Amino acid sequence: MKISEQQFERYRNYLRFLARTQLPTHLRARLDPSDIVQQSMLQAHQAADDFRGDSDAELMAWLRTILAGVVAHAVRDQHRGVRDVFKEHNIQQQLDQSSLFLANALISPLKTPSVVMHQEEVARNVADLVEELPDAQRDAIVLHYWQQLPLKQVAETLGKSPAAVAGLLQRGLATLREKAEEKIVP
Amino acid sequence: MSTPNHSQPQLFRELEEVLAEYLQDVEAGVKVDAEALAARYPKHRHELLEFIATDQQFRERSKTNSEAFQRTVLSGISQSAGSAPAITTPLQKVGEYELLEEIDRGGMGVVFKARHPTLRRTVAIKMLLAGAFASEEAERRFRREAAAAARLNHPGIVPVYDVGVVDHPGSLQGQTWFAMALVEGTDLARRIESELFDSSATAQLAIRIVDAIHFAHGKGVIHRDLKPANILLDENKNPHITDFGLSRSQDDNETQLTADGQIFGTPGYMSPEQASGKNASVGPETDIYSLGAVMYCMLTGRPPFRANSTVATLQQVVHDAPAPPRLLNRSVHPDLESIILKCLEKNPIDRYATADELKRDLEHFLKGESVSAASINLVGYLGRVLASSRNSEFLEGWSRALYAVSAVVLVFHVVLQFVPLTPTQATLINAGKYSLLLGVIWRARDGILTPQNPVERTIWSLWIGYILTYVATEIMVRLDSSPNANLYAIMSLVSSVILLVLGGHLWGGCYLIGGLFAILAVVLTAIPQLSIVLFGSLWAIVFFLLARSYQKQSRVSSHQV
Repeated sequence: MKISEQQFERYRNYLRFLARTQLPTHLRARLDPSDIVQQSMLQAHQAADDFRGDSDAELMAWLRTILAGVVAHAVRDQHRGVRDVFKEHNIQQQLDQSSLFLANALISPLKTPSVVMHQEEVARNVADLVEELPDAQRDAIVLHYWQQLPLKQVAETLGKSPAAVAGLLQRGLATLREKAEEKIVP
Repeated sequence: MSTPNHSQPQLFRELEEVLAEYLQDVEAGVKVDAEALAARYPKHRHELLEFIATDQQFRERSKTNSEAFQRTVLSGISQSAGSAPAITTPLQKVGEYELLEEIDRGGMGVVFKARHPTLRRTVAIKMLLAGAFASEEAERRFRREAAAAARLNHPGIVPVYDVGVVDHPGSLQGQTWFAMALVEGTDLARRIESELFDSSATAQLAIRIVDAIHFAHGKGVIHRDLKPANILLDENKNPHITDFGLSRSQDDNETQLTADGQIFGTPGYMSPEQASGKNASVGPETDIYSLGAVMYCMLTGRPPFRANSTVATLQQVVHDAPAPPRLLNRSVHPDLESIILKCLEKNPIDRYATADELKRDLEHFLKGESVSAASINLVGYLGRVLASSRNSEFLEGWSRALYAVSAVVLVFHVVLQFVPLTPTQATLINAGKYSLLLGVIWRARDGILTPQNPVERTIWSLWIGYILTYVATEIMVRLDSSPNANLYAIMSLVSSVILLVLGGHLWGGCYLIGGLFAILAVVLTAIPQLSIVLFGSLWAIVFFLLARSYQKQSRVSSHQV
């Protein structure tokens, strides 16, 4: 499968969202998910000939592998040499898991008309929705549901009160739910 | 509590406080009653209920998702299409072993090349991913099986040296690992990809694989997941079977569907009993089936069943006959084809009883002697057809009811034959017979009279057709009162057709009885005076034989459970 520039573009939000789920909270200030995605897209573009799959699912899995490498390197650079052999594998597995969760979180896999839309497509669409949210709401949702930080820690990371974070979560989820019903489940 | 004079921002803040409290309760493991909470804050009812529903959905999905995910990874489904960069940093330790590099991924987890520093031994470490087991019991059983497999000492079986759990802290903590011999070379799946085997090469290699399997069966170990990828080939092309008994843990869940509808194991090589989830009947014959599937693949380059989706493949494994290998590769020897098809029989009883029996047949084939599975042998073929039993799982509970049906049919026909009756009385007795039969069926099926599965639907249609024909014939015979019209001779012909149909659906013996009914039709035309009792007796015999055969079947299957 030959992949064009525009095709890669379709995955930008998806990859940026996944990158967010993997960035350690203490590196939030120093690492920008957009940069990581930019680098990943560049690598993917250069290695496009290596891609051997022919389905969307395979392409997305391949992009996740690349993203995992970039995230691992970025984090390693920040830590200056402390490395864990399994870091990259872990990141990749977590990315796979985050992606699967993305597909299932909002829309029940039973309810999705799988004939109409594949899980990968759902994941990509949900990622688009999440990326459209106001920054604060999106950050709260990623930290709380994907990184599974308790409310207090999310509040500390974002420099807000727990109540404010709860409000962000509520408004974010309400928007997601509404838009998902509008755009994903016909 | 809110007061009526709250302004909008104050209301907002109150909602946020309530939500924060709810979230912290959930995190602390407190069960929150959403309705009660909503009742306490009626102003926020809508937002609260909606948020709690979505929040709980997210939490639940995140949980089931990670479980499903781990199973997915375990089964090797989530392999990426591009190559993942290999890890080369040494000195990560698992037990006494130092991991050198990743060599494979998939199946049960990740495989590393590793070295034992004091023994100077290079091994393969297979790492099972955490969360691989449904329960502690499943994990214990798995270890027991692995220990049994580890004791298998045979040149055709990859020896397991060591089993353990990573106990030092780190990302691998808690994961189960195996240290086994490192076989340098390739595996049968890759070998087949590059080149197919011819008939004699297949038989030669298969004999060595079967030999190893026979050895394992002798020690009470069943492989359960035999497939080309589990047969490693060393540099001298010697086969070494790996992953013995390791697939046990995968049998525990009844339905093994992951979030995206994938199934565990390798459906193309899975036996019908595994594919239909009848794990209790998994035995040595299961491996025999897989051996047949492996030989099939060596000759044709594909497993016996392959469909677009896993579910479709499993359906085929359970219901369809495999395409004969010679259809895909004309050069396959007919005798070898017969051997393979015998391995691939749906019913374990119809396969080779032991690996040794299979091995002997393969040896006969190589020497050019006749093989026991050969289909050229017409008598043997007919014998198999007559003894074949299909769909018995649908009808196992029927044996007692069928005995009753047999008795009812016999008694009524004897009465109709020998007790002098007026036509009205005979009709009444016939009506009584049918209500009694319906009653028997009604009891046997706990009050359900409608057919519940395809086999029963067939039988129902046949029965209704039979009764309609009977009534129509009766009317015809009465209208045309010529002495030659014999109701029972005509019904014998109808019965003959019905039994030939049942022969294909239930039991091969029905073919034989169908033939008898055809003969009976002729006999009855000659001696019409005994029509009723002869006709009734033959039907009684049919029901009796079917009852006996299901009684045996259910004894066999309850034995296996």
